[in-house]
Amino acid sequence: MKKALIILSFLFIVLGGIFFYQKAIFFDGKLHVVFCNVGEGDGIFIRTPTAKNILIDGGPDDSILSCLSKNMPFWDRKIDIIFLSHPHADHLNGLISVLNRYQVMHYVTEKVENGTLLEKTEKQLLADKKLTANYFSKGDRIVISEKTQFKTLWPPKELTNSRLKSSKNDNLDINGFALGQLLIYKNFRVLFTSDLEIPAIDRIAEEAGRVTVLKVSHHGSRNGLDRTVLNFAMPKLAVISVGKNSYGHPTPKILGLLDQFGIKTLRTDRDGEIEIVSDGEKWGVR
Amino acid sequence: MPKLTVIIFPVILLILLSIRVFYFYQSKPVFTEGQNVNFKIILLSEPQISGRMQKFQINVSGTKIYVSVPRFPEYHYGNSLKISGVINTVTSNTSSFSKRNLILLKNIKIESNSQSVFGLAVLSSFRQNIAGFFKGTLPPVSASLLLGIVFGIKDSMPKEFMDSLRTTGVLHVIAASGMNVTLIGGFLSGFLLLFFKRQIALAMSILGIIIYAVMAGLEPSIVRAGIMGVLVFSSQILGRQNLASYSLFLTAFLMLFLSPFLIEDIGFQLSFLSTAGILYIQPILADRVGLSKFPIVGEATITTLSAQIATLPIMLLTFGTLSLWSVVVNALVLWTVPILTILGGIAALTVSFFNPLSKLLLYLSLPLLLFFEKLVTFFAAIGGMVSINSLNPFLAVGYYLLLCSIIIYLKAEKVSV
Repeated sequence: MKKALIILSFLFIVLGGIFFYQKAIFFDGKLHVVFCNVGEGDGIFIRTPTAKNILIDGGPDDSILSCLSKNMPFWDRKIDIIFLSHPHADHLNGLISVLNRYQVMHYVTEKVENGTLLEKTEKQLLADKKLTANYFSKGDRIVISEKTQFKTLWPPKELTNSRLKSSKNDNLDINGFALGQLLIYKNFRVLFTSDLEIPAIDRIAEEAGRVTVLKVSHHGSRNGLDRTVLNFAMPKLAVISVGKNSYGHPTPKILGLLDQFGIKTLRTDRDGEIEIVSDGEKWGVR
Repeated sequence: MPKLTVIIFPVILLILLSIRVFYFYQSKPVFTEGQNVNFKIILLSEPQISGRMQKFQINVSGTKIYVSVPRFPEYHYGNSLKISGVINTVTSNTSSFSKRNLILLKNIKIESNSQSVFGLAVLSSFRQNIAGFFKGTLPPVSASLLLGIVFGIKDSMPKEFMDSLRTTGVLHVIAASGMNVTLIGGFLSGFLLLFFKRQIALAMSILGIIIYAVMAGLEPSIVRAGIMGVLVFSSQILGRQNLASYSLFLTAFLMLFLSPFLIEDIGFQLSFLSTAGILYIQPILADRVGLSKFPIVGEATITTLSAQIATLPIMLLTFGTLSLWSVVVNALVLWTVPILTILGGIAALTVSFFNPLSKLLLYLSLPLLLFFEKLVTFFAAIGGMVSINSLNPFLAVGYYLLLCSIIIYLKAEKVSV
């Protein structure tokens, strides 16, 4: 009995240490944007200056979970918003495990479906968790705090509606209806492009204007970026979320273009997890 | 007279077993390439999640058929499934020298039957409830490590960490086995003895062990440990202590008689041999090597060494690799396992009744889990897997004969002194 008490008090003390350490590093009042190393897919975690947790896509497998636990305090099991840009497996798979393991407050996605078994699993799970999906389109926005907000730049409502009427059910072309979003925190702006392609990508870049960080669309696919995008957005940093794949992502064309414009480029397949921290004015990569 | 039974009884059992194994292999089903097959199965272990896929095996009287299907929809332990597909045989290099023919299934269609076996369904949902709570409370690696330690559940263990456990030779801690059964049986009987008469408390502990084994997922190692646990506790009820000392062999006999294919099962082999090592080699080492003096790490070192001496040739023949850090890492982490089993075990029991307590217990286990993870990751990063590519099977047989002789000699010497 005495031994058990000694062990328990020892564990309490160490746990207390971990608590205060995490309290210090995860509540620093800064914006953290983490491009998780999820392989070929997208999984982006954002912790706002007011300690809200936001997730854009979940990657192709459960590796998003390690990323979340690394970037959130251990007792925080609440995700305030999940954005699913579109229901392809390399963006959605990981979210299933996130929905199972975390308390999710809001679920935001676009309306076009692809009718896969995966999507059915997602819908069933949302129903089980009594979570209603919010369908966003161009013009919608979420204000997180006074200085932090998300603006949805894509898809336009007319585009989605015409597709929904056409009763087409094609898994491949749903990239074009993906959510494109701009995160604004004071003067620090990040453009999330999901798998959008030319010309949609040009239009959202025009809408967004100058940004600090550009998430290169569609894992560096050849239709994910062009001069127009870079001329409008003029990013200081480009991030490619990519892993081992058979499509040749990221393509030399895209890498060449970024190089030509002299834009510093980071890739999750080479650099691993990429964390960008900003106070709204200055920013840096960790 | 008793001397004669001691010899005759095992001989009869051995003959019976040989006949059984012989006929079993005579009538083993054969599959041909391209053959259309369909099966009705009940999943007796949770599918292994691997990236975008989930994988499990169908066991057709000892012939394993590997099934790999997309991650969603998920199937679970206890589900009854109708599976159809086409046989596809491939040769895989499990290690650089041993080639195995793997039977896979192509063009798979699965129909999931919503109603599954009743008792199993209850235990399975209980188990999912526990696993869900652990995963929803702890970081992914910590949660799967604790689930592995307490129940041997390892379906959602991140692959890199699983590899690290293998490299450092501590993979055995996430296989529910003898240590768990001993701890759980001991804990239960100690607790129940406060309220019940001895016989009844022991009988209830036996029931507890059986429920635990079924819930942990009936893998050979847990079945072995479960049967042994039941035998040991029964021998205490019956007052026949000698049943316990034979329990390992009796268990092996029972299991092989019922499922002869286990003789090829690596999990069964390792579980049986390492237990034998701990039963017969450990006392000798403890006597002769002065390690027991060191607190915490001493005993773990001797236990690890005993189990490793007993399993060495099998490890080399099967995996072709040897973990250099194994003894060191085991010595450093094994002391956390009983504490984690008890914390995790109570947390699991209280999930359905009072989950703030389980949450607290899981948080308390976090420092130990993190210590375990960091240590394993640190040693795995150094490396330390030695591969030994050609081991003659006869050498392995020789090794075991020599080992047995040494054990018998040293035991006899001790008796004469």
